[in-house]
Amino acid sequence: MTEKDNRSFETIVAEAGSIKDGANPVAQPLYLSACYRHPDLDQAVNFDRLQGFTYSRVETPNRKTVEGTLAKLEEGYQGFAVASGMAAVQLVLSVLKTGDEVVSLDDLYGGDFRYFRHLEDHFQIKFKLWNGEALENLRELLSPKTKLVWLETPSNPMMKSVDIQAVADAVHDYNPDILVAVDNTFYTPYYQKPLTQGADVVIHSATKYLGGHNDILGGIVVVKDPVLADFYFQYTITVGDTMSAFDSWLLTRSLTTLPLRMQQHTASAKKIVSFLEQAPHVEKSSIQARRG
Amino acid sequence: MAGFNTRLVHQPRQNDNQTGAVAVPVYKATTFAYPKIGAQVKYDYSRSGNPTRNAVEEQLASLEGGDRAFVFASGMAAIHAALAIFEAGDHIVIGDQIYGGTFRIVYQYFKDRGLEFTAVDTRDLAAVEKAIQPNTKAVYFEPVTNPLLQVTPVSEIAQLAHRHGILAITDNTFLSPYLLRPLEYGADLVVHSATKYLAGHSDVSAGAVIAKGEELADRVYFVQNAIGGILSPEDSNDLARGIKTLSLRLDRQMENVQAIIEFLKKQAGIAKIYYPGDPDLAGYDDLRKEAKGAGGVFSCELDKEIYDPVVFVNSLNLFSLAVSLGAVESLVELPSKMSHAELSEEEQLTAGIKPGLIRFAVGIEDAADLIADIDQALAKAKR
Repeated sequence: MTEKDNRSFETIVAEAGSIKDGANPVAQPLYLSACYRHPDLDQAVNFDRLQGFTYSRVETPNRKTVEGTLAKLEEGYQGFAVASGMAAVQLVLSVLKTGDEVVSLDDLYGGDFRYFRHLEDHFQIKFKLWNGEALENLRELLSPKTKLVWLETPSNPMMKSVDIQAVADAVHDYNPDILVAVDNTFYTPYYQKPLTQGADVVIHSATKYLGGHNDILGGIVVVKDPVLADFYFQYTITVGDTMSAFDSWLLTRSLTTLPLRMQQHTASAKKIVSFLEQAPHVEKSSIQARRG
Repeated sequence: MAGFNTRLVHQPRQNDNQTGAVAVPVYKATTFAYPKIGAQVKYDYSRSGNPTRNAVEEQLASLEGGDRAFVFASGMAAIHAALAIFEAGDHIVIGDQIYGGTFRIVYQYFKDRGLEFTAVDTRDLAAVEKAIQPNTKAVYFEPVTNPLLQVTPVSEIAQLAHRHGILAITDNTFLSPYLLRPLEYGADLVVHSATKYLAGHSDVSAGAVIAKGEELADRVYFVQNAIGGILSPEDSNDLARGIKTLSLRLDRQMENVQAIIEFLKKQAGIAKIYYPGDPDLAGYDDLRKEAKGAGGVFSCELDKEIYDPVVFVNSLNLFSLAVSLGAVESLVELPSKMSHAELSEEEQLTAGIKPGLIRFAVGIEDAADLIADIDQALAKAKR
């Protein structure tokens, strides 16, 4: 539902939220309204959620803007903005049923493992761990029960780097229905677009670089497939852990400076790594860098 | 026109054809795109006009029965705008019991810019008339004053002012348009500290000027746009949000005041109570000519032989010791040590501010809890 935007990354983020609503504000207004008027009963009954608004849990103009912007940046079909990074993890794993299996990288954010254990304990969903090295080992872990492969690249804290395209090809060769999900929190779409490298789902803790000011908690999921998008949409409006209008507005605002911030983060990190490489008591430092 | 309570809840729609949002969105944009060069647009730059601010301005104009309203970043910014329409050499008659901040801007700002002022007790019409000079341009007053709640009927001042071809400007902060609409009684301009009853939640600083007639409105708008002390879009939204419950809050506040006053009347050592909303107390007849009630503020004097007023205010738990008034939570103030501390003891006594004068700004809590709080504080304050 988000059309491909051929403008540059910098232009897309700079223009995010600039809307034509009659008043033509250059920054999008903040819609705190919880509900929306329907012009008549017919429109209310045959309401098109893709065109309009009805209730803020279902969609708000501000959430729609940030979701659409991230879908463009990640080059996906639809984005979902939820209340935290963990809410995004939960949304992605909402496709799992009892008896399903997941293959996951063995070096992930600890909160992910905590949630994996919860799913194992409560719903008998099995998680198998892969060390991120040989693809043969990954193939051996796949089974007819595998529903999803979970990657984080680079990984935290060991900075393991995974070739998303190679993993996606291997997994989809085995079974094209297995979802390859990539947590892109560490690189952001400025440096890495997993959906263009064969992944099916991208996850973000938007609290990190996307938000970038330590003032919002948020999670983002972007998908390529309209059927999966509809499933996630139904789940989101049912569970209801959506991102607030104000946080959506702030996140849109944050995105406008994402390229500038990422450039500076990278430049600063490189300088610190160079310093540490000269430091006598540092045994090893790890940095992964794309595009500079 | 829809009834007052309906107009409290329904803001003039600003954007309903776009999304149908029931709450007016917060337009945070500072600039607005022209569809094409030379196009007639309602909004171009947020200082000059903003849809969120405009919504609450239109609403306030309707609630006060004025033609246009303008909102500002604080009550003082609104008062400044109302007085900035005058020029050097102009003279204004002001009430001698008006808010201290207004005195400050009058004597420490406008006086230095060539305006002249004479302060009189506006309850005394002869004194007001006597103060009017050939260069007098307005009478500026508060229909109910703080902290002694002295009542000046608006129509009396307005008629006098208009007989002399000058303006009547009313600070309606203490009553709000729910209880009094000064423009309906002849006033030309109304000012508000909207921080008080209108916003009502102790979380927005805001002011408003409501004007009757386009000519006067244009003069106020010139000041708003030229000086730019405007209310932010978020605060405009919070103000509108507060306005929705104005009448509910004031009804409860007045109920609570009356219950507390009934309790205080039975206590020994309460020398005097100031509240024109009570038929037994001074100012009631004058107030009732125009106003629906006296609001949520009242004052009383503790007999200093019986109570220590400082211990009393320090012992209150529910009533926070804080300036401001008109919000959901109850506040208390000791004018002799707080709002009027700059005056000498002699000046305080001349102004009617005795050491035992306590000013209560009553909130919407349970009256029984407020009374119990006062009861225990009185017990502790007993000498």
